[in-house]
Amino acid sequence: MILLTNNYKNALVAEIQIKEANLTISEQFKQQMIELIEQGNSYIIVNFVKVIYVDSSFLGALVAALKYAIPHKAEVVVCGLNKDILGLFQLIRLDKAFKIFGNVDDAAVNGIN
Amino acid sequence: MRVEVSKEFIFNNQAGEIYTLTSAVTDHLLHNVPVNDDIVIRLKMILVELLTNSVKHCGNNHTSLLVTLIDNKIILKKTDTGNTFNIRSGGMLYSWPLPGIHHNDKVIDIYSNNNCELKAMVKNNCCLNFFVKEVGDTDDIEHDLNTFSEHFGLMIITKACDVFEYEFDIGHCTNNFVATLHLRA
Repeated sequence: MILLTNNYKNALVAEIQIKEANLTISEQFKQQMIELIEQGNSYIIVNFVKVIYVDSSFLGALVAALKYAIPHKAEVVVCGLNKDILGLFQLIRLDKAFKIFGNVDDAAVNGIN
Repeated sequence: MRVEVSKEFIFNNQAGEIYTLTSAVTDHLLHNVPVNDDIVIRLKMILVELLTNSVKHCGNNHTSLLVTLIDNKIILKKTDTGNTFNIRSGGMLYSWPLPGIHHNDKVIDIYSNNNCELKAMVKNNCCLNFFVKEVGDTDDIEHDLNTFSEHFGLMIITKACDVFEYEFDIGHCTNNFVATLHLRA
């Protein structure tokens, strides 16, 4: 299982369970995200707290999920990025595409507002 | 004084080895030269993407990663005997080595992401220099997302380093990707 999900406040938290978020899991991650969106979850927090690095394939899957979310009126935000992953988001401007939060609580507050 | 430190690492093109090798190369460099956090973060990005590229495109062969410290620069040279390097652009397929020199100095559009355009200039029939053209921010993030490519690998390397080149070595029939990072004070 790549994502462990639980409902928290008005959000669905999807915590990535794999330390190395790379091309070996990117397609499966994308499919799981699409399923969560199709189930009607309108605010999904992807929690990276257990992830030590991501590669471009995984980021591509994350962007694909975000693209899928928009016409389904869902929002995908991220939290728990370590400094390497945050630097990567900033380098390729994914910080413009995703709302980034320090932790699940901060992300959940944004979902209520 | 010109001081050179070089070390070759071997990568077996297994995704499970990416993090271990990235850490090993980073530790090796930190042992030999003081670098700031920004350089370390960019170094890891480049290593992860160079190795990921090998997993995707190099089959069962191994990949050599030559790490060189020289003249206040870190040079990462990835060499493999894997698949031919191809770029599709403008309805054309460019495959290295290019047949002839008529493409010299040509700029090839590779892909764009969120107002960053990844391009490459053909230096000669065996060599290509990647660069990114930043075209500014817009407020229409939804429109931008729809134009987002879901490919980031070459873009990450190009933006993270100072010079990024591909070279086909005709003598050895190898693909060489060379990323150079300048160590600034």
